[in-house]
Amino acid sequence: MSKAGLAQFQQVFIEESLEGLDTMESSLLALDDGGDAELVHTIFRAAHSIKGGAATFGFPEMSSFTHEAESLLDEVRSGKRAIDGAIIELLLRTVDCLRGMFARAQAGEPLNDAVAEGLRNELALAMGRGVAANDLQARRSEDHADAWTVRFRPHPGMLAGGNEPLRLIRELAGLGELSVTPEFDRLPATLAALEPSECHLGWTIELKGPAKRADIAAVFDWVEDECDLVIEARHVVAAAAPAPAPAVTAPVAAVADAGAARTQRDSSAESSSVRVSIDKIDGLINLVGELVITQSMLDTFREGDIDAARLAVLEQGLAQLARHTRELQESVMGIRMLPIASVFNRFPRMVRDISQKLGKQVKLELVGEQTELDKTVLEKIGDPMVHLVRNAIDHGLETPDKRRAAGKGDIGTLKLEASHRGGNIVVEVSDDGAGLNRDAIVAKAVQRGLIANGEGMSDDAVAELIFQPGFSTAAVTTDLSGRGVGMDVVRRNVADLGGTVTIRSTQGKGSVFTITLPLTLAIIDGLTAAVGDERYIVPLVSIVESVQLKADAVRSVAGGGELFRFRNEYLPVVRLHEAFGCAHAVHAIEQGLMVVVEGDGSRVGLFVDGLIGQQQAVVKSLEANYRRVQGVSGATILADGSVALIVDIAGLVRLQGRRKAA
Amino acid sequence: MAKILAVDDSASMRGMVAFTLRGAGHDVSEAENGQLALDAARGGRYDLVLADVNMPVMDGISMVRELRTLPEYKGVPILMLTTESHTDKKMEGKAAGATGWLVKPFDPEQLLATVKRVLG
Amino acid sequence: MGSKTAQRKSEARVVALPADFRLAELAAVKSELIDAFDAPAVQLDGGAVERVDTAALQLLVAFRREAAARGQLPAWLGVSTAIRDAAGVLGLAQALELPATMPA
Repeated sequence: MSKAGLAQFQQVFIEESLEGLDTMESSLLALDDGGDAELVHTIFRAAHSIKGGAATFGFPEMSSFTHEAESLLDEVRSGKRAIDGAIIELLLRTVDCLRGMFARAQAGEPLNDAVAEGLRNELALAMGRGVAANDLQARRSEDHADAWTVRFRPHPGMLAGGNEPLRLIRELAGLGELSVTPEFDRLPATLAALEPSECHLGWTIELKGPAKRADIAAVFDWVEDECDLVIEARHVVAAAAPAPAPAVTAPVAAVADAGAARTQRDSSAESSSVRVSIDKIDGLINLVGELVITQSMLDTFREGDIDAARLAVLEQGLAQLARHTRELQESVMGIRMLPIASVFNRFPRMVRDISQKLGKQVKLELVGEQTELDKTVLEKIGDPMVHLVRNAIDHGLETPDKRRAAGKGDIGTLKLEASHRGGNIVVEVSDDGAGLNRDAIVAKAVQRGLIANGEGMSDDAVAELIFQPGFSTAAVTTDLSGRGVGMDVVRRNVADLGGTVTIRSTQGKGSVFTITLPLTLAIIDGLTAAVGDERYIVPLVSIVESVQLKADAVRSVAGGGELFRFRNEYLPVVRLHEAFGCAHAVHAIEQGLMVVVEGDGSRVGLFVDGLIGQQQAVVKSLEANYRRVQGVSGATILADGSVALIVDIAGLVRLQGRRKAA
Repeated sequence: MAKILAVDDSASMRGMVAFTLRGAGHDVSEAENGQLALDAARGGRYDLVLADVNMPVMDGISMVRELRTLPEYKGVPILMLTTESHTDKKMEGKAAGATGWLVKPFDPEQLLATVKRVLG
Repeated sequence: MGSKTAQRKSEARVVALPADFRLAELAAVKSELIDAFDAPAVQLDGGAVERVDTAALQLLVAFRREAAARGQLPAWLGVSTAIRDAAGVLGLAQALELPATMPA
């Protein structure tokens, strides 16, 4: 068994440890809020698992580090130590430090750093040190002899516990030549009185051969308290040559191999994986079973004529097949789906830290943590949410005295809520703070040259301004929100995931940011558009409206572009047949269709021959199978087996912008 | 070749144990916690059970206690996978009916040696 | 009851030990062995035993001791390698009166 076998579990270990750290953190925070004792057990269990696995999977530094935290927790758990704010703080920093260590582990860097060293000392200090000297080792004195007498009398319950005298004596035989004499004095006089699972035999064993007392004792280490054991040296050769017993060799072996293990980790660090619950897999297996049944049922139609009765059965079978296929598709997609809790769970800590820094009191409510979304979406939604949450605490929620002045309670509420709505995931970040300040936004927008003035603009239109590139409303740039990242970036990040961000705000009452995301990136809802001989899929989320225009509605402008008027604004036209070079396409505006789409915050009109219908498209990567193509986000296979390209609206809009600028 | 049940809530630890033992030709089943292990144990007789101590739903100690009430699990070796710092846990495990323990961290060789030792 | 007993007494009882002769199986073997005390002669067939543990051999030791006290002399009809090995390790070969060699 080589260490190579271990490498495949290292990544799993890291993933589950990171989850464990999240659990530790949220439990510590709950404990800080006066949670119950069960939380301590939860925290302990998480620390314990990390410690147990760390050395096994080649991270001995982490193991010894976690050991300190675990010992501290054990004292809390057993009631030897009361938990207080200082300990929680210390443990929270430990969680951070471990996260750092795991990140370095994945990057193949040395695990320890100054922070880890310092923290280890702090933990040791908190423990008061100097406890639990290894009395076990002390007891195992190191005398050698070349002959021993071992008297071994198992307690009656030893056999039921799975310890076999057969095994123990065989092991002892490995140390030298044995002469075994059984003792029957405890054996009941009648067979009827004998409880077969109890041991009433005893043995006196003469061992010939040079052996250490510790080696003999080690044979009986599991049964120390389940037998009477006397080990006597018959000829003492030398008393106590005091080298410490090599009782614990495992960590040394692990250290020696850490280097090799790390090299393997490098190669595996990049491949990401999803852990799937057994339930989901069972569900899949079940569905495949159903499919097989349906298939064999349909198979019977290979032979014989199809009459009305058989036709009904055939139709039923096909309907069943359709249902199972859909369910199977959903289930397979479900494998990539993970609860949003892993993202939500970072916020309690963050909210606590930020609000303390700003002198605000914030109550965080998390709703719908079990809502599942695609792993890819999940990984990318964190940053935009962090930004929205920071904004809400920094700009939205007020300080306690301001809240009192506004007739509100001291404590502001920040709510993160995830839910399924239709085919989408909706994540809302809402606060009961001051809401957007219309005048400040208008003033800023005017100053930035985004608008001439705010007259006649609806509140929604004003709120939309904060998503404009380069817009920042903070009167004072703090180190929290003022990082040069604006709401425009949030919107772009969400758009990259095929989603949208909107805001509703009421001055004095608070704001609600709503992020709407597709359930998965692997399947999109789209409209199939015909362009010449080709078919293109236009993602449904991007479509605003489609209109049939008269020939004179489109005007050519200097530089070769075309514009048309749509609801008080002029939108550029993107002729898909030109963009993608399609033959036999409709050129006359009045004979085709203008599909108004929105991407990257701007709108354009896509000119196509016509729309064929709506369909779900399974996205196939072009990059993976061919190469990246501008304006195309992927491909899909249509029902007739032909390939249709999926239009990348944001990409096309950017392309259009560049062309316009050129 | 023995029928072995590996019980650990940590997928990595359980996976490592199962992988190692399968590599040695054993027939290994896995369970995520004590309760699932009990269900599995009732369904088929195992020659050896390896169980973590700290697990959600049902911990290893309670699992051993329950397992030992089943007549067919009297005398079947059950090893606790434990960490060295917890001598009291070892004893608690023993009191519940565990055969012995394997101290974490352990590497595949140690695991195989211990399993060989118990299975004889 | 006389004639039946006489008839039964004319036969030697054979107790076949199970292939898996270990703790979980011992309750059944124990009652069979207790029954065998009624027979004039008992033969233990351990030829099929593949797995054996201390508890099983202890049961046999207790059986032989009581049988001897009753004046019975159980004979071995078959002894598997597994039994012979285990008895050797535990120092029980003599107490079990295992024959030196055994036809298979």
